[in-house]
Amino acid sequence: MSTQGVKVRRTLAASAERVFAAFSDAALVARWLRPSPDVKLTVLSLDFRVGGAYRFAYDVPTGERMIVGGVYREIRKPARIVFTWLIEPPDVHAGIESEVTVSLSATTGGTEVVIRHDRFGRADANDRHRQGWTGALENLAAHFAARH
Amino acid sequence: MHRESVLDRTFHALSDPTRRAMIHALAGGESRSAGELGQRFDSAQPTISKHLKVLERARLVERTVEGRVHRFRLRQEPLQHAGGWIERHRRFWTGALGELERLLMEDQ
Repeated sequence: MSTQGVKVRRTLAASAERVFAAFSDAALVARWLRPSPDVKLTVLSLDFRVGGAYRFAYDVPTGERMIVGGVYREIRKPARIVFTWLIEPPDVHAGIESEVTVSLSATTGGTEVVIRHDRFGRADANDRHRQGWTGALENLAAHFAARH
Repeated sequence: MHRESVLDRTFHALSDPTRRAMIHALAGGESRSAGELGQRFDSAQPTISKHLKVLERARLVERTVEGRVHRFRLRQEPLQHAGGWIERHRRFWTGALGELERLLMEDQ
């Protein structure tokens, strides 16, 4: 399977160490890890070590609150961070287990950040299934969007 | 909680390549019989039936029985709901990288 689910990348004019710190330092995380400036992020907890947990609250302008939590699975400074991602009820997407992989690599312009977010279920949380199936789903979703 | 389990079933159903191929085969919108689907996949009929049951439980396909022929048609709602999860997270991370860029510039 060639596609890999949600995958976004960006080259940032900063060292990998600085970009890494933006993920690991709670005070820095609180300043950016949100989809847009009008969403307020409160870092409820952040224990940056393998097995440590985090919990973020997002308040959107319409008044709803989304709470996300997870556990750090892998930390390789300053190159790679893997953490689980679970939205809490009563959100429409609550309870869907997923995993985020952040990869940092040095480029001529600074640091390339690649964020991969793959969903996996309890029943099939193994590598064979996790490889790329969200991509297949995305293709299907695009197919239906095109038809309607 | 209801929606959570529905979405979990959707994702589970889609975790298998044969079932994904079956969904593609049904994507045109027309219904197909279990036999027609079986021919396409070169699998034993009990295997095809099993896959169709998983798809049916996830409400990805709808079964109609005409005499002895079971016909299956694709249902789009679960796919759209699952697609919503993906779209939401794509927007989240795309926006977040923009915010990260802003932070790094501010702190320079």
